[in-house]
Amino acid sequence: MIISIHSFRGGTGKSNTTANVSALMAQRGYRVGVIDTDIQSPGIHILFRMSETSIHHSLNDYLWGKCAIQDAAHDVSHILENNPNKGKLYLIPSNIKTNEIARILREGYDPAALSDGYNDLLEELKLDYLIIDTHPGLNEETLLSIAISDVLTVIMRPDAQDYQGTGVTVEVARKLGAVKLQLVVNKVPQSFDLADVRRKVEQAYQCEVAAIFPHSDELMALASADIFSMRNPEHPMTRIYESLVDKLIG
Amino acid sequence: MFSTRQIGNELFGLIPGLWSRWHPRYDRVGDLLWAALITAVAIVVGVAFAAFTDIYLFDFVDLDFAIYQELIPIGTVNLINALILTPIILFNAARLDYRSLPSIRSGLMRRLLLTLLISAALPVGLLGLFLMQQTQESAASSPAELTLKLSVTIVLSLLFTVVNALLLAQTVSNPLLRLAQAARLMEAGNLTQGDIDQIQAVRGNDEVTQLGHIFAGMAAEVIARERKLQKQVQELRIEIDRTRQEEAVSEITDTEYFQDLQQKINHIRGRARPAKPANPSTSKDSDL
Repeated sequence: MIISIHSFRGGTGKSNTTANVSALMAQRGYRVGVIDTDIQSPGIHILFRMSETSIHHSLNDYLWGKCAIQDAAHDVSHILENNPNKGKLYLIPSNIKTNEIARILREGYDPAALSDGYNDLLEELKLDYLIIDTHPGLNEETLLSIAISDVLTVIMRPDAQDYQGTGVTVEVARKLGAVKLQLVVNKVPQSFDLADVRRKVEQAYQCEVAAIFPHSDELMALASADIFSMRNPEHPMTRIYESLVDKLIG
Repeated sequence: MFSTRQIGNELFGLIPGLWSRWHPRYDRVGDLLWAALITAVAIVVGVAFAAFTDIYLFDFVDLDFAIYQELIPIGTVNLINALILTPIILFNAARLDYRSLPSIRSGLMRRLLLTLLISAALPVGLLGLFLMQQTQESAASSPAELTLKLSVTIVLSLLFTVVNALLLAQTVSNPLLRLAQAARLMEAGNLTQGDIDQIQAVRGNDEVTQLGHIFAGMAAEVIARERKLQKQVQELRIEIDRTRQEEAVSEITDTEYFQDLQQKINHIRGRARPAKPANPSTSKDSDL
């Protein structure tokens, strides 16, 4: 099963959400792969505590035909704080070297290779779930990822620019016939009533809201350094991540 | 010489004293009447005891003398005094609340009082000591030496008083300044929970500390109320420009790539893969 996690703009907390959700899924005993297709500004590997030097092969190498996609998969199950069900977590990072990023931008690549890669990953690593951390906006590889996904989760913040962009994404995804569409509202200021936000968002997009995250200073302090739900298993925020996992696998 | 008159006098006090052990309150008129009656009984018993024992102690005292020269005149004077004074004193005493006397109850007042007393007593003591010394050896000291010693004593006393006063002043003013700063922050809406905790952490039994605690409690209450109010006021409004959205959507869906993707989509999805994974393990329930 392929799950795409997308947002129209950057800074919505997409990578953080992807990391937390995938780790919690693996902790439940599933075999989970996370693929960072944000080739232009990769970053999720930092959350999985991977250094540049420990990345032997990346998504870029696969797209250049230098290796098989499973060779770019790094086992990061060690970040699971508690793994009684022997779940597995793999990360397929993008290359963060600026010349590699520039090459991708300059020369482009065959988006179809990406969809083959997804299917190879599911088969070769016997994954239960493949989670795609997409590139913001709606470029070709993102459209492909959306098209190929069983579940599309769109993350938005409660602000005017995200309202418009999310509307476009939802419409385009519907035209592609995305199997299951879910919204996640992130970074909601404390002054909002969460139930009210959920009702209004669902009404505006005619689409289920899978989770709402209030803005958390704690998460901000840990952002891009760690996976919050692993470090704070009892925190209310972690409970919201758990409920999002329930919705995704439900 | 031993006299039973002293025992008689002491009975005046002993009898009402014992009675008051069981009747310590004098709020009602009935209590005051009872107290007057008991006092009268004590006077009669006391004077009678003194007068009648005099018969055995003194030759010139006989029964007539004891009754008419002692019991009646002494008893009458004492009864009149006691019946007027006892209710008045008890009435006032019952209404005198020692706990509300500010000088006793107030921690700040106590501190001020103590410091002022020390400040005043020390110079007076020093000067007194000095003068006593001088009177004892006045012959030995020349007027110049005397003036010098006196000056030194006065200067030292003043110095001590000034230092003491400064120390006292800052123990009062510092907490007040901190409190004023907190109030200013609160006025600007910048008071944080950390500031409030800091004020609440100050220990002490004086009024300034109490005021700080009251202020901290109030500030916390106000901040909580304000937050609640904000929550009620702020409502999410989602405004989407549908025309612009339509345009943006067609910009994407009109591309060749999109239409190509749309056509191939079933083919891409058609590749065999399980739609929904089975539960990963039997112990899943305990993990959820």
